Amino acid sequence: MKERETKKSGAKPPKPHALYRKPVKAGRFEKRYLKAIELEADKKLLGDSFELRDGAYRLREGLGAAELKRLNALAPFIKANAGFVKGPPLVAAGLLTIGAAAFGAVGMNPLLERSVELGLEAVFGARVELDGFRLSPFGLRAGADALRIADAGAPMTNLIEFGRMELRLNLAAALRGKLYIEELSAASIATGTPRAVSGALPQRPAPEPKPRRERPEAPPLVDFERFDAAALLEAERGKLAVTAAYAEAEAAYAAAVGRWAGRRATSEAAIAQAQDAYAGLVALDVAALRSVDQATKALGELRAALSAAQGLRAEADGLVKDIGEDEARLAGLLRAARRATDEDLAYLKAFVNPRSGVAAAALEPALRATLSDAAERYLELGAKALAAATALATPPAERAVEPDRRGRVVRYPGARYPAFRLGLLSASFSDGGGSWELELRELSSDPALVGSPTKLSLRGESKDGVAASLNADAFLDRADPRSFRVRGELQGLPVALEDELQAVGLAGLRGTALGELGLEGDKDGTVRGGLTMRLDRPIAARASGTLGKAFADALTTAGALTLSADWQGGGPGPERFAIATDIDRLVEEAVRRVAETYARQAAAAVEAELRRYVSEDLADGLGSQDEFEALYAAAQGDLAAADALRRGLDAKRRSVEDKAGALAAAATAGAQKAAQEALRGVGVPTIPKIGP
Amino acid sequence: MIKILAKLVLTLGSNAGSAQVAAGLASGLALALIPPGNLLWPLLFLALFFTKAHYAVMLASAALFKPAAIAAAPLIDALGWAFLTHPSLEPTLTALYDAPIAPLTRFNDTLVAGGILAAVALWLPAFALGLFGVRAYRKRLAPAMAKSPLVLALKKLPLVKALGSAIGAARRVGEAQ
Repeated sequence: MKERETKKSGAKPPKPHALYRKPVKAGRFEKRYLKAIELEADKKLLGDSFELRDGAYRLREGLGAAELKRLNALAPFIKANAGFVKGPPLVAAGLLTIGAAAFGAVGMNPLLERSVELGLEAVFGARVELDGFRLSPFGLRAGADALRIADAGAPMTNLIEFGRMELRLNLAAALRGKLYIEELSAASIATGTPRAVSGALPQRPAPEPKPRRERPEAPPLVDFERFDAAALLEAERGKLAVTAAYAEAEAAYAAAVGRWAGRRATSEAAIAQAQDAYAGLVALDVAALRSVDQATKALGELRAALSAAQGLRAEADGLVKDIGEDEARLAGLLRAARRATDEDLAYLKAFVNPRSGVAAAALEPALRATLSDAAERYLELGAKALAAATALATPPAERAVEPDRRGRVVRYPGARYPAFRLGLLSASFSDGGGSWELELRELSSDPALVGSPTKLSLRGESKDGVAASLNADAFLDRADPRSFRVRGELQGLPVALEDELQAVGLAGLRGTALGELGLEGDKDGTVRGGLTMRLDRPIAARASGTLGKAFADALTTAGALTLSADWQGGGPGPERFAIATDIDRLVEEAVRRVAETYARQAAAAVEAELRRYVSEDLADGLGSQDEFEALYAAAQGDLAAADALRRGLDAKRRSVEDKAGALAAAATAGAQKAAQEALRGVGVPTIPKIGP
Repeated sequence: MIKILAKLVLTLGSNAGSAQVAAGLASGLALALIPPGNLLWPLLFLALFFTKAHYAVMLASAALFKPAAIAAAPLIDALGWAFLTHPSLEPTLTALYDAPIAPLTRFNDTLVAGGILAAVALWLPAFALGLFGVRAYRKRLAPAMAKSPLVLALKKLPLVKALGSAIGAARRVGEAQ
């Protein structure tokens, strides 16, 4: 039989699948074998291929090659269709886990390193380099050898550079998808370190450089011993009110001349033409008029000429009135210019009066500039840090409440952890022999959740004995109107001013400063600051000039120089900077004796020089005033000429009218007489009487 | 592409469990509805990897339903929004937002929440429909189609021939295993 089947199929029967070799219990065969096969033909083949013997299904003997082949093809389905869980994928998952662990050990850190760099680059807008980053995911610890953040505004400089760092992450936050660095310690921190390569990001424009504020020019401080009034006047000429007033008057006169010269010339020409044209009429000999016709013709011409002359007079009169109005206004400008002379005199005399506060006024710009230079770098650094922290704390733009096919994120109140939170950054480090401690607390992307401002604390002492402490709070919560608050103390700071005090005749000033600084800012941009400083053991170098020498002596005697400054700006109100020192008091005491002698002479010299300047340089320079006045006089002359012409013509008109009347009367009388002569001897018929 | 299609056709006409095929279909629909980019999707994907839901059918189903899920995004967004902003659910969802792991699923995104809800709601109907479809195909449609003159004519087309040979190859590979 077997041989027959083999021959029939033409092939050797295959070995039955392992599933079929052993007897299968009846229940199991029906549940696991038959039920697993869904195609009816295959199910029938499977059922027919087994026989039930002794309570178990056994493969029939003598099955053909084709049947066995088909049965073997069904075996994988019998295995696959049993149960709900696959075995091989579990093995694959295990292998995948091992692979992931291997990746974590070898490739994860570089990837995370780059991710951190990219994230920080987005915040700071400049290149960030993180070296030797390593993460221990099970220990929730990470570290790096160095972190350098470039300055976007100065790409060849690092904004900040950290040395070796270690950090500890919070597990509970990590399980919620948040990054909470409980503690981060850095071996060193440095700012403004140079870079070998540019830190500018490609395709990212560098921020606009902040325009430098124009520094105010210091007023000159007078050296009484070598006082030169002309030099003082020359130096202050640009600021004198009288210069501007005379310049304004001159411009106004020139404009007035330009405005009226054309009209006056036209008027003058018209009058001259009329005088020429009507000269014959004015000179008309009335006695020569012999007939009424002659008189009537002359009268007509005179009336027309008179009308034209009246028009010319009206124009000349209008012109005189208009120029007269201008003349009153221009005279006012001249009076104002003369008043400005007195004001300028008081201003210039203040320079030679040591009690006028001029010493402080001279010093203020220099001190302000010096303070600004010292503070600006640190303020700028602080502003950048604040801007970065604010950018971090600015939540991503929330999607609109309107339906959105990209989905919307619903935020729930009372979340425990912000997306990012740095609990503590601490660094104790040495810098050039000094030792410093820095702590930064509670920097987060959601300050409202943390409930505490971001705090920065820096304290330490440099190798040359400068002790400093700084405590700064940044109020990043948007609901808080405050922006930041800074308190700083400084002791033992060596001060060395050089060019800054040239205005007061000092080539240098040295001493040791101590002081306190307070700075507060609001979210509307207003910044208020206060500073108190004392310069101990001041030593002035190469003093020159009356005040310079006196000041140097006073400083040595006093032994200290105090300074306090208040500043407010940046907000909606005007900027205010007030500086108070005891410089004026020291200078005043020192120069009192010399000032008594020199100041009166200097004041007199200043007055004489100013008067000379006004009379010779300014008043004489009013060329347009003369031109204007000549124009005004000429216009008045034109008016007189036009009036005279009108009057002449009018008188002639009256004479001709009289003459015409006389000629007419004579002509009438002659006519009557001739008529009477002609009618003499002619009878007049009578009219008969009619009626009762 | 033809081989994948052939494998799917082969799966439908094979002894592969109809429940497994239906589960693959329904799970693919769920994967299409839930957007990736959160912890839930890979977890679901991995979990399905261990079950006997038919993997090839699941992938094909996910690919097939994904365009439909994108087209239905406004509806899914509205469903998610209604769920996430329902006042009675706010305490629960707030607690969930504060719970470990849950925020990693980004369940507070309307597309994720709406996708999960839609997947849960549609899984069973899709499974039942798939089960019914596979069984009906195997019992009635496949035999009828095999004898249909249209199918016989189609079989002569080059593309269908290529498909047939691919199915044959896939079957031989399957039988050899």
